[in-house]
Amino acid sequence: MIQLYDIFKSFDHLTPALTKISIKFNSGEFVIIYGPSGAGKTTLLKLIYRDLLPEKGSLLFNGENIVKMPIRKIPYYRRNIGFIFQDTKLISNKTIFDNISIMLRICELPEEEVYRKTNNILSFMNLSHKKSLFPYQLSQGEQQKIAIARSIVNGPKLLLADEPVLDLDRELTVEIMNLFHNINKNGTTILFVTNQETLVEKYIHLPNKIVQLENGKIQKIQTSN
Amino acid sequence: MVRYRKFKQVIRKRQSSGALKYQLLEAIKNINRYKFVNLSSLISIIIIFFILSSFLLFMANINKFVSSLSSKASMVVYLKKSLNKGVLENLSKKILTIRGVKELKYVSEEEALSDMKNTLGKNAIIFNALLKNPLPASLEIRLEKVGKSKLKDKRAVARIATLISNMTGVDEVDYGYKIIDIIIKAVNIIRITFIGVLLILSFFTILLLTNTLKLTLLARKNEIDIMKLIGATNWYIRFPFLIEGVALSSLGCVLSLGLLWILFNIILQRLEIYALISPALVFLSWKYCFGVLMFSLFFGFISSYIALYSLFRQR
Repeated sequence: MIQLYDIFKSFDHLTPALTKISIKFNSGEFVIIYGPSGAGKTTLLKLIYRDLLPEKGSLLFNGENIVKMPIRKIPYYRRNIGFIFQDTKLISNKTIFDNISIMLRICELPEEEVYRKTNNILSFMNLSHKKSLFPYQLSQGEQQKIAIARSIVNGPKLLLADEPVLDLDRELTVEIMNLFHNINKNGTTILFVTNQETLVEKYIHLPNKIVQLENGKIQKIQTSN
Repeated sequence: MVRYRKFKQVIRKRQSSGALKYQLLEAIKNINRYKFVNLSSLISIIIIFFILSSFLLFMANINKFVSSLSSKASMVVYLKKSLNKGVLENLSKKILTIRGVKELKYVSEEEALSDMKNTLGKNAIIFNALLKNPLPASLEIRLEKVGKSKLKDKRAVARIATLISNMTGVDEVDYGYKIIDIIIKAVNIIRITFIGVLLILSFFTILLLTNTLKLTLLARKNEIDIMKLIGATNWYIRFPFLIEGVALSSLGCVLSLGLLWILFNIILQRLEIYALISPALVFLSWKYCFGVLMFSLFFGFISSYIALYSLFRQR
């Protein structure tokens, strides 16, 4: 599904963020990418999301080199990918319903489908009763669940999760990890980024692949069936 | 052209999916959501259009005044003594066929004397000593209005005068050269000034509106960034903002016209000399008001587009 060849990315041409990254992620895989802060995990996700461009190397998504993708095609490419941001990136003046449905409206789906799919995902997340509230009226965990709901509501092929359980309590972390497990079981490829080694150890049974990043380089790749 | 086609495609696609209705509603909701920012933008827009409409009002009144002056553009043809009726009728017909001549009036020798006596009042007594009426009969010619006719310069007026002076029975032609010349010059200067100031004001209107709308957009930069990140096309994001820009601009324009109308009436009531002002001051006609409204729609669209373009280019 995604192939990275010899990727090099630096900031201001001085600080290398990623060096010689070559890796392949297959369709339907659950991948955990872990490493300390500043290892280049978020940069890697942003490159795949085409929010950043590498200085060197190529990045193929279903065979298409997205490094050379014209700017006008980027929004359509991003609609295939769900991104869960570290800071949730919910729109503060929109209700929970609107925050989720915006993803479907962007794809210009008919109104009936927008309502049906949004209500379905809210029920799946057990948040139907909060659909008229605004993000600031929800707890951090609930906000994270809304961000996840928004990223999967249009059935993306790939889900990029940038430290989604950071600062969450144990109970919520378990709930969200189970949620990811269910999403993956439905066929969505997941790239899950974290800096918590304990989390990797605890959920070692979930991923098909564990990638360790350090100083912008891949240190170790563990694969399992 | 390509962008316009793209814009039309976006509208058509949205109409079919129901997204157009949603985005129109969103635009209205957003005006309400960002009350404070929009209110400050609205005040700026009201000020801009108030200045523009005041200038137009001034120009409309000046134009009306000049137009009433130019309607007085006339020519007097003095006739030779003891002209018979047939020659006079023939001469009148010939003059009326000349392009630029609106109408003519025959003033007999007796009428000319009576007019002169009326003008002189008490001093008219000097005419009593005369045995014979010294004043000739004449034809008073009204020319077409300077602003609307083919009479664009004094040469055209001079041409008419030469043509008439060569006709049988004509003694002399007096065509008030100076007043016509002044009128033509005044009309031209006013028009050039009007176009120049309108262009300058339009430029500043777009500049101010763009910056005002940029402030509105900057307040929502975070929302725009999120929309872009999750896969919204530029047109999807721009559309409600363009609607908002146009709505704000036209609302500001209507309010500024209303404000100007109120102020205009207050000033008129206070002007005791109003009755002496000729021609009477008038407010902008419906045509002008509609024109200003169309301008505001256009400016709103252009300014929003420029503001959005500069914001999108930053990424």
